[in-house]
Amino acid sequence: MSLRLPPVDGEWIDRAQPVAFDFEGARYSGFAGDTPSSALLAAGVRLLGRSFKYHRPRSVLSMANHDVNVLLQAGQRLNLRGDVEPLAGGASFTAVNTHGGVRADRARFLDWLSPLFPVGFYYKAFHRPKRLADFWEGIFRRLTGLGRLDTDTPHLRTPKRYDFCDVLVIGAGPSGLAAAIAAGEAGASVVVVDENARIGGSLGYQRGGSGDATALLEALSARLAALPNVSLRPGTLAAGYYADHWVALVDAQRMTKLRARAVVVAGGVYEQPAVFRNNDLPGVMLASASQRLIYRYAVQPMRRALVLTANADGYAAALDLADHGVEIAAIADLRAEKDSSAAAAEVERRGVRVLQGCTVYEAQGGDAVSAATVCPLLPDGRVDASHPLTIDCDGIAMSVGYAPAAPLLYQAGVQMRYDETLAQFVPERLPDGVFAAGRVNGVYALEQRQSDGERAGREAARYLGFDAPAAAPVARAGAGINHPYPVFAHPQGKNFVDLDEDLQLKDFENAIQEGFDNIELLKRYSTVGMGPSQGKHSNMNAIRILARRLGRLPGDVGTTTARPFYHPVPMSHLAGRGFHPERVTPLHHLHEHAGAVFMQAGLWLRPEYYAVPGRSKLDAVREEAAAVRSAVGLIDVGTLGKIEVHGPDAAELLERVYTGRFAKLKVGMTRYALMVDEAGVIIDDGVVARLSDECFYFTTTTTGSANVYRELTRLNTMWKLKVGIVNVTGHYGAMNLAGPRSRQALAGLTDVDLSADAFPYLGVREGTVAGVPARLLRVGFVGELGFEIHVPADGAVRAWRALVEAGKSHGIRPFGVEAQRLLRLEKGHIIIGQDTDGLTTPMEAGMDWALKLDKPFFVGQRSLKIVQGRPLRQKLAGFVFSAGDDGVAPKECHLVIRNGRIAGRVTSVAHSPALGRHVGLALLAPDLTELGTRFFIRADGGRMLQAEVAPTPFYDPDGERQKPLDDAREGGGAPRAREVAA
Amino acid sequence: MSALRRSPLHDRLESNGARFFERDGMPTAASLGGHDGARARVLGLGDLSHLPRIGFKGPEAPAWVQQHGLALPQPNGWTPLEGGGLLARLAMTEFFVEGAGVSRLQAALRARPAGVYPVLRQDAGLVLVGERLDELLAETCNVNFRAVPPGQVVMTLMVGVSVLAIRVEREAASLLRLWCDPTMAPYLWDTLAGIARELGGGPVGIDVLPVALPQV
Repeated sequence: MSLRLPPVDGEWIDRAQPVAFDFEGARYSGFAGDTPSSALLAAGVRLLGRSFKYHRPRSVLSMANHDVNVLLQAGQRLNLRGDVEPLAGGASFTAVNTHGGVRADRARFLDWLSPLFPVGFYYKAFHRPKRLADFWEGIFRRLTGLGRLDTDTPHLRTPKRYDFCDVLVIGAGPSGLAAAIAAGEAGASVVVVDENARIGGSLGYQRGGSGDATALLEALSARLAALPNVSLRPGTLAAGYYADHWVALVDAQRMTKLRARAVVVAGGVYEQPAVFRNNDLPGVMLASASQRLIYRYAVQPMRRALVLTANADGYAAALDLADHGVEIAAIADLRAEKDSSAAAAEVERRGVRVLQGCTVYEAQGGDAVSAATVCPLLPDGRVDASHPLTIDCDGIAMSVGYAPAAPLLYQAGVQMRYDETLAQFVPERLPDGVFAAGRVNGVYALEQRQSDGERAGREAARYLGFDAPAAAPVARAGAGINHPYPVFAHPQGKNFVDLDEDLQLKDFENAIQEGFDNIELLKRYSTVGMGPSQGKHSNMNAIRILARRLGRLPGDVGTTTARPFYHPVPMSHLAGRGFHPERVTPLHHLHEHAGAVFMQAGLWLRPEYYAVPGRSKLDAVREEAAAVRSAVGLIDVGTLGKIEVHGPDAAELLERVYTGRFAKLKVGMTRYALMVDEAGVIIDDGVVARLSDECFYFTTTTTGSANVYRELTRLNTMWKLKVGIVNVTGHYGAMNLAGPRSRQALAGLTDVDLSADAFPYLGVREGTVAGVPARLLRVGFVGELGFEIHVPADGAVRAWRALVEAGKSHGIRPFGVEAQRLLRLEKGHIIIGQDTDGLTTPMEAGMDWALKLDKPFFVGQRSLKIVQGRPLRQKLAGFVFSAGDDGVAPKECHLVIRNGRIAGRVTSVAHSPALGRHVGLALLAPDLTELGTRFFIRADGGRMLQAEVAPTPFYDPDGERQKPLDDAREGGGAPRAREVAA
Repeated sequence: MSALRRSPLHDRLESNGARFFERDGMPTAASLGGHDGARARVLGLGDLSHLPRIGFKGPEAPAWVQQHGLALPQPNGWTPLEGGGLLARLAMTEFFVEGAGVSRLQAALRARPAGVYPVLRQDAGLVLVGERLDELLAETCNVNFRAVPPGQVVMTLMVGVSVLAIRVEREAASLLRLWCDPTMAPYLWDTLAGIARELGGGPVGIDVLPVALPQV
């Protein structure tokens, strides 16, 4: 039984291109331009889907991208909307939400059990009794529909794009097209988007038995064709509005982030269903859906129709149906008074039966409509069920009103108000650069919609400074279009308000009775509007129901928040290409060639260690550390933050941002620097080198450089010191040559005198290394004689290669972060962020020596003076295990336990080859930090390990290895030499 | 001994079969095979990191620029220098110089003029050229370069990387110069090269690139 009509003027299908496809295992055919829904209806298939919760039979409701009655899966693609999915040859579709197929769905018994699933059932089931939560979870997971995800689905490349225009027009109906023409003729660059495959909006299908709409569309199209500055983008959904007129546009291929200078929203309206018993049966559809089927796809929606209406559009739809061979069994008009439109007069002239003041009380049928029960309405709007009238029909077309497609307006910050005359929310106050036109603006008559569009287009152009004539406002008119309460109770229920979630009228009544009488609460408790349709057909009726129950107006109840995206967007579109910035030092490829295994540190990739064939990671790390202790090692420290401060107030700036003193630091010397925030919490550290009276060069932690630079810049904006702050982090490469033979390895490569007298411990010198301009800092983070060598990034490879070559005869070996961590731990040097946390003060970290509280000022000084007088919350301490421990060790972040309570945590731990035992640092309760105190650490598996508080440094406590044969005189250094540089 | 300078993109170019020659102390890719010209017409990506560059900032920097006989660009603007270089003004008192003119200014900076502070600029210097430049920009950057007036410097993010960008409209095809922190350059290069290849272009040597910027 084919319901395909003879060719219809303007149809979207191409009859020259037949398309074969499968649905639920059977072969069907349609045409290019069809959708699965249209082709199946044309083939006489009416049962196209099952509902999410009760597995009720479903079919076309809107024939637009607005509902999910027909959700399909095609191979790895799931949740395709059958009403709008382009039909492709060879596709094989199945309906989602079924167990055993759409016809024989084994879960359809749930419809009979629906009384056992009250509103809020999910919450109630999981809430009490708790022991049944797992049981319910299993049930729900088994019954959950929405397709089957194939985790092997390939990653689709859908790169996002940016785009720009003067005026974005959302909606290509009569209002939107008129707006685009007006703005385009004024000279603006205009982009018009519409979610439908073709432009025209309702002009294409709400024809009312006349050719006027088609002629108008042709005329508008001709004017647009003459405007090269107007770009039409059908098949593109404006899915979300963000600040500054950024709008997310979604099409089949990608998401485009378009920034417009002005936006005209002319997205029209969503036709709304009436709520009556079995209003979800296949055959019950919106009148606009029946018109779309006729004019877009040349499909006869039904053979014998009952039209339920409350406005002139219903009569026009009846004429469209009748003109295409559909017998109109009757028109049930909710209103007591006759409609005065020309369409109604034509209907009367044709002798169609009109039942004034009546509603459909119930749709009858099993898997599809076979008849309608029509009842008169009482003056208060309730149904008088005492005199039911049964009318045979195979379809019910509903035309009882519309809801504005306003989510983008809400997102743009438009203030909406409920217009009682229109029975619709309309824009009340629009933000700058946002305009609304047409039915979403409460303007309904076709001519007025055009005028309103033209007005909005001109206003947008004028707003942007284009020369467009002023436009008079268009009065809102549409009284009698939207029925204020098309909701009808039935003692047996099944009168659905939300078809996504199978929510019936009684569910709302019960929820309100349970106290969820605020629209936001009602939404979350009942889940209305939370399905894939996002309430396009349910939110307005939910508001009406709540308002009536509370004795208020819908405007007093308000609407829920319409967050972007208001329509589902494929995950692949959201993921896009995926940009993940990564930083590497200039030496990165040398590390790769040397077998480095990399680790991430913020955005950086750093060598963790250098793999050695046949050696474990642990062995490789220990060998690297041994090379540093016994000969010489070379590590890439280019990730350190590097900042320069120039100017007469450079020292003053450092005095204010670091806890130590720098005003009297000698030129040519360095000093450890500790930074705290306003609360006195440690946030960064590094080494400050004075290159001249007015120039300092200092390092920060690897991850801290951007923050430190930003903070210094911010502070100096307030302080207005005479300084120039330069972040040169990426522009300098840096390497640390460390070990007892480092001086010999370097000597032949540099013009700097490396002798102890000329270049003392904590000194800084400028010269060259392998011909590359270099800054050399004598610091000792790893506890050996060492030189940190900083060179311009483009010379780093040359310097590194030269050092490796020169160091060969001295046993040089590159070492990674892991070995460095071990070496510095042996020295008891802390790592900010690892051995400290977001609350650690210098006192807690045992770094009181780095504080100069008697300075006039530094950031955090006031807080630290207060903290100084208070008991410590925790204190960082070194600990050791007994010599020759069995190798079982705690890990970082393992907890210290005392009397069953947490008394601290391990921050660093490693096996020290130098000491032959595990050593570590821990933040401990202060009373545990006396030397020799024993405490327990809970390790993996709950094993309790005893450790003992020990002094740091664990290795070379007098620092003799860092300054062999030289300088008793520290160049202005700290009481203890803690040259932390990582 | 290897060359004094090395591009942050050296190994990328090397793995693309670059034929190097030394320019400004740095091995520079002259070509990347026989199809550079065709790629550059569609969308070529080239490395101009060899060009010398310096920066300076400080309260006296604008006056210092004028003392050296140079026209002061508007803030966020740039002017071409004789010989093909450029002088860009990144802020009221911060400047960036590339190409011709660098050595003269660098020498003058060594005298430590009061209120003018040197800024080490080791940026990677990139160039994009070709008919499909706009398509690449649409995927990688949220700036509408078409709306940027000639002579402006754009400081923005491209694929998550901070860049300086200058667009120059030419008769043949638009050209975009880019500069970024050298440590981000390999990532930026890989990402742009991947997109350029998808669009029918890709990395090219400088033999087919316009190294000197035209007058604006």
